[in-house]
Amino acid sequence: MVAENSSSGMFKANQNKGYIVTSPDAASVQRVYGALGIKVLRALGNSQFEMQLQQDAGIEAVSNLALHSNGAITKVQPNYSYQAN
Amino acid sequence: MTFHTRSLISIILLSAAPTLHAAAFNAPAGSYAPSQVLVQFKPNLTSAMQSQTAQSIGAQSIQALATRSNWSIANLPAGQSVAQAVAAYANNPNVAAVQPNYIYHTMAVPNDPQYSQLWAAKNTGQTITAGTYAPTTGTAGDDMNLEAAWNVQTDCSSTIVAVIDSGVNYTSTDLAANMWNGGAAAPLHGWNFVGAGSNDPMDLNGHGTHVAGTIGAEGNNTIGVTGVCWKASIMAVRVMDATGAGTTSSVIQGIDYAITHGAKILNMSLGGQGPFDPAYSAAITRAQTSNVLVVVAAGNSNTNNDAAPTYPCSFTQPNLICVAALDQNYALANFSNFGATSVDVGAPGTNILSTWNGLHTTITDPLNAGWVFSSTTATAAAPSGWGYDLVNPNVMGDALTPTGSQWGFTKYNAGTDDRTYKTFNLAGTNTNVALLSVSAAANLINGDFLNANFKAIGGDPFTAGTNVFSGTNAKDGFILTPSPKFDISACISTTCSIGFQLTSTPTSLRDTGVAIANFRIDTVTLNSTAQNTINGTSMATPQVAGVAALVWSHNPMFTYADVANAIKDSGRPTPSLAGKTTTGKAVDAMRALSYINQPSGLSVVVH
Repeated sequence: MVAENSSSGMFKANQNKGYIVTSPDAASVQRVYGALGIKVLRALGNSQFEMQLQQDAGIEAVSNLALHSNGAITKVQPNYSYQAN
Repeated sequence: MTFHTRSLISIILLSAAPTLHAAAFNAPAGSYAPSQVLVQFKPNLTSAMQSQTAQSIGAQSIQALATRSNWSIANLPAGQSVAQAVAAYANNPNVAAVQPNYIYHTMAVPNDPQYSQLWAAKNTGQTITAGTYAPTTGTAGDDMNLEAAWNVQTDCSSTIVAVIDSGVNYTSTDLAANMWNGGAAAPLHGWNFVGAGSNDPMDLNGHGTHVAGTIGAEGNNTIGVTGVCWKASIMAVRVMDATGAGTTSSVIQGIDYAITHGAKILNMSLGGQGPFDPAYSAAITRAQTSNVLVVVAAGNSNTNNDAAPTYPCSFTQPNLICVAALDQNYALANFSNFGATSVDVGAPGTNILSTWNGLHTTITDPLNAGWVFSSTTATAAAPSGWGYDLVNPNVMGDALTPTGSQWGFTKYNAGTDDRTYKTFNLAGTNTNVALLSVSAAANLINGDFLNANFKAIGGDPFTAGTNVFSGTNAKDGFILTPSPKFDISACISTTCSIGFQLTSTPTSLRDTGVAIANFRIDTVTLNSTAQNTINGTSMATPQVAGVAALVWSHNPMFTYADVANAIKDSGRPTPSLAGKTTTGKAVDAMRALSYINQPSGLSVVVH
């Protein structure tokens, strides 16, 4: 995967592609992450959703919310980037 | 198409058994004359004795070969099979050798005008005229043995191959006839999963069209090139954008779409180093459950995938084949990733000619004239702001000295808004795509920003323009060309203004700012006739996917495991792949087609 920060060093760019969250339904995702401002929420099938946040605190914070969601969010991972080879 | 030699299967039998017994006779019907055998009588046997011997076995007549003493064609009587005759002659004391009278064909050679440039199909040691990877010539015979395979199978249209990539230019005159028929639900031969998605998987990059052509550019149609499959069913699944970038979300949607719509083989010439991707892995497993084979690229960073996993190559599902790239001498290409436990086979991946999506042009700017500069803080006493670097050619920077000497020696001002922009004509002739790439060296305090914007109607792009990049907090940080590229297609016009902005907070501790270099705009105008010669494990991957399609079309009852075994077990041992791949082999199409599936699940009762 390409690093979220596309430049070397500490240059922080707006390259975050969001997250893949697994949840029974979109309403559950809204309930858990709505306070962070959901910018994009797209169903991917297999109970998976692509999610982008307006206030994105990073994967640790997003995972922490999932852990305390009482099963509303069963999995969360970065939406990794891939490149043509 | 012309014919002039015969199949590999028969050649092996001929060379392996000077005296052939019935037990060893297993050549496929059709590969030999059905009512003749070739007989070599023992020395000093007179013609009369030869005839007598043949008659005793039932021959209707014999005909001595003019140039081979003691060899004769024996014409068999009605009812006697070649196998029976071979056994009878082999047991006769007057016979030195006997074999079927094999039928030879020429190799299948398509009439596509660029065929001689396709060294992967037939390596004669030819020069690849548009090749950019050295060497551009190679070793005759270091190829995928496709001509022999084409004597057996050229049509893969019964096996849908999904090209999960940047899309496919389905209007290419060399691809149009071989695109998947998606019916009314998918009238453009696939689907687009980039962004919000659409039913149009048109390729705005070129990569996917190249991959598709290697698998299935129409063969023997007097146009362009041929794919591994002369006839094919290519499903276009767009998961990467015009810059060649995709995400987990687009890729897994593409995989599920391909599975659901009947694809048997997925070609994924994409990847990236990084953490294990559970969602992607689960999608590969869904493909396995659906009896779908997945062929993927090893990667182009010349690294060991065993040590630094690259996905999808490093996934471990058995329905996945990972492919390294070989050059024209069957050396491992210098960019190719490898891995003794993660990369399976090698295939041609340098100087590969195939279909392309259109005309690509490049606009560069020397960064020494025509840029508009402004600053909210520059004064005679505090003169920093954008300007041309007069020491380093082709560099423009903020925090230059008033006389424009060299970036990096002065600091930008606190509380500033420094802008620069220039207008470009991107309209060209029906331009479809425009991509911006730059290099930027940056020393920015956290909270001070470099922004890049564009505006199609011209003027200051930081007033009602569109942002494509924003970054802060850098110390000797670089954005390196050619990546990342930014899609500025929305700026295609005769008056596209592109600019850079440095902003700083009023309390900024200030640093030396930003230097812009290697300013470049790549444009694409789609057409239906383009071709390109490029390098990569991406180019090796579809060679293998194409062979898989040949095998599966030839053996429709095969499972994904059978096809994978046919490719991996049958390949040609190649020294450069030994210890670098799981098999140490290069893919050989004819050997893969000749692979005989070992029966499984059978039991034998011995009485």
